[in-house]
Amino acid sequence: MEQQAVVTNIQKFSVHDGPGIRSILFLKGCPLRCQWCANPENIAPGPQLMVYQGKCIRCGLCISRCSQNAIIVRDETVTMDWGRCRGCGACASVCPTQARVMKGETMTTADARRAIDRDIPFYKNSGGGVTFSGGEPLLYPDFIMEIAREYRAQGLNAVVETCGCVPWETFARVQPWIDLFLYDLKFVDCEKHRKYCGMGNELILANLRRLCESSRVVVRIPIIPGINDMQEDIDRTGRLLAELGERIEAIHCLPYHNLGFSKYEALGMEYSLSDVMLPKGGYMETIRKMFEQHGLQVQIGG
Amino acid sequence: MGCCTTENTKVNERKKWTDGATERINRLRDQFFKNKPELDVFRALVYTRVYQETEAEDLPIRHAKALLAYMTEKPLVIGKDELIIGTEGSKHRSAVVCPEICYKWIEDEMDTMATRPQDPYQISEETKKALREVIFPFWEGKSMEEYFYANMSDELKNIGMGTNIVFSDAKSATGGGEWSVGYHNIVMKKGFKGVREEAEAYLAALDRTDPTTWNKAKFYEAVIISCEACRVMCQRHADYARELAAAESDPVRKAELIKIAEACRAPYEAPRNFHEAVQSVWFTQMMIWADENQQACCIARPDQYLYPFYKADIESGAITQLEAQELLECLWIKLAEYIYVVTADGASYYSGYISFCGVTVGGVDENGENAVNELSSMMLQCTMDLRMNTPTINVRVSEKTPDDYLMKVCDLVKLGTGQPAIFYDENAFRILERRGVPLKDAYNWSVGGCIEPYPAGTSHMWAEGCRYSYAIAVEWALFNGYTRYWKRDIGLKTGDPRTFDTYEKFEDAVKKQMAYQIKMAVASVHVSEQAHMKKLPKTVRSILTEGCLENGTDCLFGGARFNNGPGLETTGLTDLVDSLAAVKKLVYEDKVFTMDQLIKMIEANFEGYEAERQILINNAPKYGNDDPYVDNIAKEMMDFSYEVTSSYKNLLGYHFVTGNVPVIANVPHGEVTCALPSGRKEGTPLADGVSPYTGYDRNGPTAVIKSVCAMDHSKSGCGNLLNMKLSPSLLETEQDKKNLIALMRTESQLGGYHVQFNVVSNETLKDAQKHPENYSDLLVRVAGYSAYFVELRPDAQQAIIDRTEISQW
Repeated sequence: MEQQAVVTNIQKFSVHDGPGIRSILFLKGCPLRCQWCANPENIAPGPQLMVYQGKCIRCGLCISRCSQNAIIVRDETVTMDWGRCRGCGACASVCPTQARVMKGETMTTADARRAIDRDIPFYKNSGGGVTFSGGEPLLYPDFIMEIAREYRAQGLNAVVETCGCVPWETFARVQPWIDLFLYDLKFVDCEKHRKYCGMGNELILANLRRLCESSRVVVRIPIIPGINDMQEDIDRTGRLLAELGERIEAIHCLPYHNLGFSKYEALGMEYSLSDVMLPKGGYMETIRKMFEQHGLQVQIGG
Repeated sequence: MGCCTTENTKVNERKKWTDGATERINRLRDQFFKNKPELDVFRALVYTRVYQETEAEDLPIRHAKALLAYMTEKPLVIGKDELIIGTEGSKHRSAVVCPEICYKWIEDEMDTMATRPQDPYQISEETKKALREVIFPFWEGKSMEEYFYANMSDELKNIGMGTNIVFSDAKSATGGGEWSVGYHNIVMKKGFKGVREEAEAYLAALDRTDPTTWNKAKFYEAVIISCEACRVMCQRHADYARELAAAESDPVRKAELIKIAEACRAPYEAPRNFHEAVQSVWFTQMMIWADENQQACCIARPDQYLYPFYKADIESGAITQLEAQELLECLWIKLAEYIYVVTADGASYYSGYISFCGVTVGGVDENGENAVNELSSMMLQCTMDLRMNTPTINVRVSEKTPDDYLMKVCDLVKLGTGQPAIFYDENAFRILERRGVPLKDAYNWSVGGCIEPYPAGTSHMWAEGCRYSYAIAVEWALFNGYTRYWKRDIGLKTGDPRTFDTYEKFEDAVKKQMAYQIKMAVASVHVSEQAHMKKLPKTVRSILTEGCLENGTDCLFGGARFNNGPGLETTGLTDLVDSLAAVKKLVYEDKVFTMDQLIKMIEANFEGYEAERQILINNAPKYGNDDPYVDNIAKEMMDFSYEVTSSYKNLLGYHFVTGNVPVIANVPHGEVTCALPSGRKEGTPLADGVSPYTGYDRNGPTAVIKSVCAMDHSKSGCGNLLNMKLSPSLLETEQDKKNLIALMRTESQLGGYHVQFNVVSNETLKDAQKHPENYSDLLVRVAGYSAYFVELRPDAQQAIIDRTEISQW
């Protein structure tokens, strides 16, 4: 049977999430609730309405389409009553400017292939391929496997960017077809993880230890100022990574950014970290040095 | 005056250059910007006198004698610090007047040219007096331009004079232009002396009883006189350098001047060493430009023809690599000195005193093997060290070109000067094959214009024979031949589109309008060709083009080994296909709008129809996104244009060629074009070349390249231009560069011909608009060339800012 996944976006010409020139398939749904999530549209599993106020030209076409009266005109601006919205997408279907869009389209592997295969010549010349990201792409292991297997057969590679929070069996199934895992690691401290990411990290840490025994793994650590950048956090992460040693291929420290902030607004979601300072100056260098004390080489950025 | 003061202050504050190969280069570069272009009538006075004295002779002889007199009398200039010497006019950066070509505009603009906003020319009272009293009176009724105007029909004038729709007069007030000069086999191997001896032998062998002999004899005589002009030029400069050496107290400079004097034997004599070879390039260009005010006389592939001299001199120890680099950088600055003299209107489209003098490096050798050598890298270094807009540097990328050379190319791309332009060899060969050039000759191709491919030194083709806009065909199909901007009928009567019941009928109307433009463009090129044949012999050009001597025929009359075109260069392909796709999808397929509604929106320039405009933009496929729906339309339209264009012949029977080479014509063409079904508003710039429309490409560079390569580029004899703007953040690491190389390799494999990158962040550009004083050295790629951003018109600046910046990688 042809596998399906809910896809929010296919980003071509991506060069920072795996080798060469790649396309990223962003798959929808995630078990974690990280407060800094840069792709909040990929958290919930189903299709979702996003409203970009900046693109609205106040043509009013959407208002009569809304059966819930969730679209309100006040002082010549069109705003949303998110409490009323049922996410049916009727407004998006008539919006001329794409200020209102439904994110999340159910695609078969054939649908996805039609889009990403168009760039195969670029993958071939650059040693690139496809990256599955999200959300948590491993919520769709069969979908991933079907595409990755075909890509592997063509000499292209497949990368999975994961939060690690899926049963080990899922890793075990996709492992043979995946060339590289980009493995997110936020905290080693379980309680902090629970506090900021919505659940504990026991499974994540256990999976990481196992996965790096038999697959290529790059660990990616988002550095969130004031949240996981304290000496203690870095030391605990550093000790774990030092212990895993060469089984980890590389460590990337990703500087915090708030480019996802506008998406929260568009989704009608609260962004709880709006007061976190953006890293500046030599901040990331300091972080790098903190890891160096554990004998670790880290790369800043993906 | 206040304004001028500011200008001067700005230039004085231009930072002292430190990146040249040597301190000398830094000084020469600083001096370059202090030399203000000035109108120069010395040549005009000499030519006027000689034309008066030679009424009884044939035109080629008169023109050659005038050149000889000019080279005999012209003021000599050897600048302090210069190693490569000579100026085309009386001073550095003179704007040399050629009244036999045109003078009317000078009469009209004489009092404003020093203060015009774009590329002003200083002009002295003495010059004005000479123009008024001697030059204008003599040339009245005699110039080439007047001949051209006198022979334009009313229909051609209606469509092509001052309309910004068809540029019928592209070749009416300028010399030949667009050419890859014969350095390989002529200048470097024979010198002008060798050519002269051949001409003398051919002349002596002519059978004077043969009725076809006359024109050949006159051609050879003109060649001999022009070669004598070269001899005199070389001799006088050598003498002058010795004179200066004798008076020089600094022993270092004295020795340099003696060396310079020795080098001045070339190119009359074939060069013997690297210094002579480099000097002979500049002297040859001086000959070319003294003969005719013309653009795009490209110096072919100097990394190839200079290499034997370089190699020998390095091996013998006669020169060091640094000395060679310095000589090349001297040449680079020299090439930038040439002023292609244009009207105020012309300057706003050819801005930045650009002469389109191109250098082509890389590619393959005569056996099809990788030709990259040390000079190929050193020439990239010249452009990196100098960061000036001339010469434009063009890199031929073949499958055989090694990655490490391309890494160096990426380093130059990264500097963000818009240089170099990238060309794909295998696809250039396909273009040339279609133009009838065998592969063996195609191996030695170079850019001979903005982006147009020429077999080096062996071919004749006017690339910019005429320009026209595809976008206007949409307007005419919508309004039955009426042009809203000019408020008159200019196009064909193709009927009221409201009566078209199928998309095919609409498309057919658009094609008829395109075909009509092409027909009118061809007819006006015939007038231009006739004008050049009657008024402006191309003797120097023929000396420097293989085939002309053997055939005893000026290249204007078919003397060259390879003859093509002229070219009809076009703009607005993207606007055309985006509009057709919108009409097809939204009017005929989805029936979102009726044709009547669409016409009303366009008549209103979308005022009150913003929602509808957004639907046109967002709900119809757009070119540049790898969407076959619209990319197939692009292919079909290009094929159609190729078929119609190549069905026409020029006065000698050669087929016209096409190509999407906008220069910056997308701005003037856009000014006169109504709102379009693509969602573009009236008066705004069209898309340039085969680049997607600003903001309509939303899937990154791979998708752009896929769309571009959906067309058959071999059918564009003049080439197709693709502009891509990259954020500097995309070129930070070695891996980024490798990805850029993969992008190029793929474009090549998919059949693309060209790409050029603007690597400047929008923040930088916006800041430059606000604080031009801080950015006097900021070069940006305009289209086929780079310009100083702060010297561009505000609307051209905005067009560059608006080009989609790709920053997602």
